[in-house]
This record gives sequence, C-alpha cells and structure tokens, in this order.
Amino acid sequence: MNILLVEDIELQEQWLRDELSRAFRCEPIWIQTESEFRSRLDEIEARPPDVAVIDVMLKWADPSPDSPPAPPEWDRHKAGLHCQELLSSREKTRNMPVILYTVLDATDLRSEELPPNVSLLNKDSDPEPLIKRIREVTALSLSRQ
Amino acid sequence: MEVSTRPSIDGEPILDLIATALGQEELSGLCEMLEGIARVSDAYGCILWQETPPTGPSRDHLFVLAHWFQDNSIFATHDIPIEGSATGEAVRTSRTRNVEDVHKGRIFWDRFMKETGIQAFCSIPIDFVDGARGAVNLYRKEAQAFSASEIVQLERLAFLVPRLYQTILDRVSFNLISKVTEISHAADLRVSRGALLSRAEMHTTLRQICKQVSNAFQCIETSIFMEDRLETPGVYELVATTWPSNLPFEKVTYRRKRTEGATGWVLEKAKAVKLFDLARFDAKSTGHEYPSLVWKDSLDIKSTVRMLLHKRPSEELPPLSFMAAPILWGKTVFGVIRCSVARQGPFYFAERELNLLSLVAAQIGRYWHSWLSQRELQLDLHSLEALVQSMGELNSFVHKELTKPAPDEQRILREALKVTSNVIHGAEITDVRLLDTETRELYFATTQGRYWNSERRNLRFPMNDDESSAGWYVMHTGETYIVNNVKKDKFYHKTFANTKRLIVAPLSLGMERGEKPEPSGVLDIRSVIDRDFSGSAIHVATLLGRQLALYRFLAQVIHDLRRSAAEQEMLKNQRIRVFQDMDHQFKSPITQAHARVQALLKLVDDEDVKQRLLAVRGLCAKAKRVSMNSGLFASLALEESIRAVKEQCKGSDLVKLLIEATQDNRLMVSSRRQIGAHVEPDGIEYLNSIKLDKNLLEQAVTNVLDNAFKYSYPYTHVKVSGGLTKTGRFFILVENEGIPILAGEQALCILRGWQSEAAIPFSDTGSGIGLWIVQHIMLAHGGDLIIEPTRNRKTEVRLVFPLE
Repeated sequence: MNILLVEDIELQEQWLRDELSRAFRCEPIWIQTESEFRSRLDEIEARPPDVAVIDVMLKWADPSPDSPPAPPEWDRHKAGLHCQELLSSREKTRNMPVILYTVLDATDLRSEELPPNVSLLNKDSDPEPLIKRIREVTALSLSRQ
Repeated sequence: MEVSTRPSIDGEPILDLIATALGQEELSGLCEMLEGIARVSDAYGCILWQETPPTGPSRDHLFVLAHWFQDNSIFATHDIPIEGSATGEAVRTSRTRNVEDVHKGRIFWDRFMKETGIQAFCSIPIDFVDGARGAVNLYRKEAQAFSASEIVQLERLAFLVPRLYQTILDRVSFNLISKVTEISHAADLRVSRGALLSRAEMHTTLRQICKQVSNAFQCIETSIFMEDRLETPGVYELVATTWPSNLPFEKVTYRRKRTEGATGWVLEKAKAVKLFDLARFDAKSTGHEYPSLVWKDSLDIKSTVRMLLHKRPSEELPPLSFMAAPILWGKTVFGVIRCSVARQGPFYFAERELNLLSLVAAQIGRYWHSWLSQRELQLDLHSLEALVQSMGELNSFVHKELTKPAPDEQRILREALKVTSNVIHGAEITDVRLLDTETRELYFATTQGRYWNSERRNLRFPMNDDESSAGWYVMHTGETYIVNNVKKDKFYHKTFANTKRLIVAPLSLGMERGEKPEPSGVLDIRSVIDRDFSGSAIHVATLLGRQLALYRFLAQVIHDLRRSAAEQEMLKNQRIRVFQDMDHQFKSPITQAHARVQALLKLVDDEDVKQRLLAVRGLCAKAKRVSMNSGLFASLALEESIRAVKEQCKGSDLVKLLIEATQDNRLMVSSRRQIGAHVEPDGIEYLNSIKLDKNLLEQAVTNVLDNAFKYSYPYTHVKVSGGLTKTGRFFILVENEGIPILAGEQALCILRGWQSEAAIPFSDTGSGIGLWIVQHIMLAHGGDLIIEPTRNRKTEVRLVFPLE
C-alpha cells in the first residue's frame, strides 16, 4: 500500500505515520505544504499512490528567503482542496481515492460538490476511523479496476 | 302772457354764462349759472326744475334740481305736478310761460309764493342732455312782469344751461377720476418699492377717495364698505366715510348673501342703484328696476338731514338722493361705494352721476385687488419662511427626541401639528390619523385645535375597498386631497360641522412611478373660516406628510437597530463568557496534564520516550497557552483589564521557565526546518529582586516565542536572553531570523486581529491576537513591549518590566 500523507503539523504527521505504517506496513509519503505539493505533483503522477490523505488547512510554505510567493487571494482554509483539485486534473490521478482529513465541518467544505472518489473524514484522536476508511476506498478502487 | 319760440344764441350775457360755466370745478357751479341768469333779468331767484324719474315716488311731477335766491334761501323740493301747474304747462308744451301776477289765476305753488312774496315769474322749458324734461324759472318779488326782450334773453340763456351743466359735469368727472387715480397711484408706488400698505394706510387712502367723491357730488355722505378676504371673509366692513361722526350711522358691516337695504342689495346683486328720494322710498315703484330691494328708514334720516340743512320742521326737504355702485374685480364683489344726501343743488343723482361713481368704483376695485394680491403673496412668502424655519426647528426637535433611549412618537406628532398651524394660514383644526393594520381603520393618533372631544377622538374610519371618504381616497391613491367646499364634496365625512375647507395629505415617503402607495396614515388640516387655502398650502401639507412619514420610519429603524444592538451585545457577552468559561474549564486539566508529563519526564530514561513525552508536554503547553489567550481575550473584550498579581521571583526560576517555554515552542515546529533555540541565563539567573506575575510572564513569553519559531527561516537560531537595562529595568529579549517586521508594522503588530500579509501564507494557525495580549500583559505590569524593525534579517522583541 502506498499512502500519500499531506499534513503540515509534524507532531500530527508523526502520530499518523506511526499508526498507518503499523496498520498497512508501509511508509507514507509525507508532503507538508501546498507549494511542496505543487512542486512534487509530477512525481506523484508518475507513481500514483493508492490513496491520498490530505489535511484541508495547510500552510503555503515554510518561511524561507527562497519560498515561492503565495498566489493572490490564497486561502489557508482551502489549501488541501487545491491539492485535491490538482490530483483530479491529472489523468493518472483523476480517480485516485482521496480522503480529506480535517477538523473542518462538512458544511464548510460543501461535501455535496466533491467528486465520487473524494471523501471527507473528521480528525479524531482514534486512528481507527481513518484506517477503516483507507481500507474501504482502496478496496473500492481495486474492484473498479 | 307772451310766449316765444326758441331764440338764436348771442350777446354778452351768454358769454358771461359760458365763462361762468367753464370756470366751475364743482357741481354747485350749476347754482352759479342760475345766479348769472337771475342777475341778467334782475330776478329775485332762479329755480332749475327737472321732471322726476319714472322710477321715483312722484311720477309726472317736477322737483327742484338746483336754485339760487338773493337771500341764499334754500327751498326744498316741492313736487309740482306737470298737469295743473304753470311750470308743468311750459314743460308739456315746450313753450315759455310768463306769469305776470301770481295772484291772478290758479297757481299751484301757493305756499311758496306766500312765503317768499313772489309776485311774478316766467318758466322756460328745457331738455336735459340725457333726455329728461325740465324748466328754468325766474322769480320776481316786484309786481313786474318779464318783458318780451327779457324773455328772449332768458330763453337763450336757459337753452345753454343743460349743455353747460354737462360741461361742468364732464370737468368734475375728469377731475374726480384724476384725483382718485392720483391717490391710488401714490399708494401703488409705495407697493412697487416693496412697502406693503398696512390696513390703516389703506383705509386712509380710501378716506381720501371718499372725500374727493363727496366734494365732487357735494353730498354729505360718501361711504365705502370693503371685504378683506384674507382677514374677515364674507364681511363687508365700513372702511371710510364722510358721514359726520357725531351722527348715528345705520350699519357698519354687511354680510355676504344677506340683502339688507339698498347697500346690501348692491352687494348681493353686484349692480348699481340710484334712488331718487329715500324719504319717499316705495318698493313697488322701484320693484321693476330693482326687484326685491327694500329699504327702511331705521334712523329717521329726514330728521337728521333737516338738522344738517338747518330746515325747520315745517319746511320741506330736498330729495334725499342715494346712489351706490359695486366695487368689482371681474365677477367678484369686493365692496360698495355709496353716496347720499346732496347738501346743495343739484339735489338729484342722475344716471350720469351714477356712471361716474361706477368709474370710481372700478378704480377702487383695481387698487383693492392689487393690495390683496400683494398681501396674499406676502402671506405665502411668510408661510414659506415660517415653513423653512419651522422645518429646521422640527428636525432639531425630532433629532433630539430620537436620540433619547425611548423616543416618544406622540411628542413628535404634536410638534408637527404645531408647525402645521403656524405655516398654513387657516389651519384651525389639525390631526394625524394612523392606520390600524389589524382592523384596517384610520384612527386619531394626535389632535390639535378647538372643537375636539372624546367622542370625536374615538371615531374610526374603515379602509375597505367599498368605502368612500377623503381619508380612504388619500390612503388608496397616495395623493393629497383638497376640499374647497365641504358641502359639495362627496368624500367629506362631516366630523366637524363647522369645517369649511379641508386638506388631507398622506403620511408617505413618496412613490416611484408604478409603485403602489402605502401611506401609514394621513394629516388632516381643517379651516373654519370662509376663505380658500393659499396656493402653496397643498404643497406644504404634502411636504409635512412626507416629513412625518420619514420621522416615523426613522424612529422605527432606530428602535429596531437599538433592539438588534442590544441583542447583539447580549450575544457577544454570552460568547465572551463562554470563552472565559472554556478557559476556566481547560485550565485545570491542561495544567494537570502538563504537570504529570513533567513528572513523567523526570522518571523516564529512554530517550525516545522522553522525546515523545516532551512532544506531549509541548502540546499541553500550547493548549494551555491557547486556553489562556482565549480567557484573556474574553476579559479584554468585556473591557475588564488584566490584573497582574506580582510576586517576588528568583532569577533561576525565571531561567527554568524560559528554558521550558523555549523547548515547548521549538517542538511545535517541524524538525525539517532545523531551527535551533538557546536561552542565555547570564543576565537573569542571579537576579533576585524581580517582582512580576509568573503566569502572565509565561503567557507573554510563549506568545512571543510562538511567533519567533513560526516565522523563523530554516537553519536559524531563536535566542532568549535577559538582564537589566541602563535604567535598571528587567527585560527579556527574544531574537530570531526570519520573515521581517517592516518599519511601519511595529505599531500594527500589537493591534487586535492584525496579521502581516507577508506572514499569513507561512503560518498554519493564528488569529492576530498574540502580541495584542502581550501588550496588555506588559501594561498590567506597568512595563513595555518593544518591537524593533528587522535589521539584517534579525528581529528583536523585548519585554521590559518596571523597577520594583
């Protein structure tokens, strides 16, 4: 199982990595910011993971003199959605299962407008709901193939 | 008796007569001419007889029009019949009668002959210019008949009398009209220079005209009655008279549509009247020319005139002639001018005199109309001035009322009604009716004026579709309605029996084209005087209606806003209390968790476990910081100040606090960024005299450190140090290298909610309250938060505490 994990808080990522690697015996690919996601999109498309777990609220980038400037009207609350849309725009990742893993409410994200391969899951201190969802969406994806 | 035919005109006496006539400026010049004729024949006296008018009381008689006698005697009219008298025979036959001896034969006027001692007379028939017949009689006391040559001479002169009298009349007419024109022109000049005549000045002008008319007609009375429509409509008041003030006067006022006497008849019919002799007024004989004219001698005019003319009771009086002409402007009757009782010959007002009086009346009418128009214009101007001023005052009043916690709409409506009465002339009874939206009825919300009682105030007016009333009409059309005659108006409801006129204006904010009108009520303005509202009244009423609607709308909006603001304030306070409560609820478990982790760290040796426990401690520290920030934010939002509970702190304890805070914050940033941290204890650990609130200090330091780590560039260092300033104040300094703070942004950093646009994309969290809270914590300590603008990529933030 190849899991792409997009999460900007390291402590959160560490905990998720531990739990997912224990559950799926894999080492998730970790991307921390939206600008990093954009810069590695080709790489992701070249070797699409089985599932992407994306935090909706992300930084644009880490502070650095070399950081690319954020686009005008960039919104932290929609950074993860931008990443999901980028995946949907690429042929090889269009139908890849995406789990939006967030503290935001479903109504904030207009879940009714999300494509069928994208689902929403609220963050929890218990990793089991996420593990269960990953199994469901990957099984479904396999059956379609 | 010799009878002669009409002679040719020549000779010196004729020239004298003509000269006499041309030199006359008054009607009494007729008597001067008669004197001239008498002197030519050395006669004792001369009488000019005229046939009584067909509408007079004594038809087919002759009366004395004018006379002259050597001893200035005045002889009253003595009606002598045309049939049966010598003079009458001369008139009938158009042939001179020369009576040599009055004692011989039958002479009609016996008493006159006996009283005067006249022995002989001759009667020369003449025709007046207007066709009336008459005669010029010469009288002698001597028993000497007039000779044939004298008769010839006298006939020549008598022939000229009517014509020369007409000349005198023409001159008198011209002079009178000129003088009246001059008087009114002088008054007009003043008006054209902007000075409107007062009522007193106007009456003075009319008195001057009265005097001129009296002089011209040589009458005792010339009186003018006028209606001032602006002040007393329907009432014709005596404004000027030449009647002696010490004598009783019949009437000083007349009312419209009440025919009272000859003057009243003129006012009602708008037609001129002349009566031959008031003393012998006979409604039957005048009925043909003046139908329904009735005159009663309520003041015994004969006695009054007898006194004025110094006549004994046994003596007869001349005709008490009367004439009156309406003063008109178009078809409107402004008043009447009348003349009565000639004090000397000619004693009779003929058609010619009445025509002249009518000309004078026309002048007066023009003048009066001009004056009324000027006054109306000025009233309108005053109304508009009053309106402008009143609207300003009303707006101030309304503004003041609306700023009160509980504005009183009734007070606003009452004040508006006061303004209405002030600016609309004739607004006697006013009110505001509002729509009851439940019952769809108009009810009286506020009233002003007399005649109100509880029964009237409780009236309600349904607004069903099949109703018809002025209020219904206005509510459905949104248009102002004016009723100029309530008796003839189908919409008038008769709330007040004595209302004459009415304006109903909608309380509406005005309509765009196509919009349905939705007035919330109406403004009623009633007049009880018999006078039209001015031209501007309807517009003023419409304006006032709109203003009232606007005031009510504003009052409602303000009421709703205040209620909403009160609700919002309550909700805000509730939310803030929730934040405070959350802080209180969080504080205990978080603090306990933090403490337990601290305790575990001391027990654990495994480095990996230690690192995880440090991460947990860092998360607990962040949760504690966020919780405390929420509580402090809530307190500050409720305008409760932060209280620093200061206690003595050791420097070494402060160093531990700083180290722990630095570690906790460092763990919150990604290890990939490789940001180092270092606490320099040297300036702090040996200090013993620092007094501060440790909890608040920790909060302030962690807020500053959170920013420092969040915005630091990779592979840089966050350094924490402290010490004493040159002035001995304790400070803590946090230095980092990262996203710069620009020179102008230092003041902005400490504003609640402010976040640098450059920094937002590089932060995963933040609401812009961290440094704002630090600022308040330092204020609570009496200290300072100093933020230096970034230099050479290095940013310094200093917390400076006062000397304690």
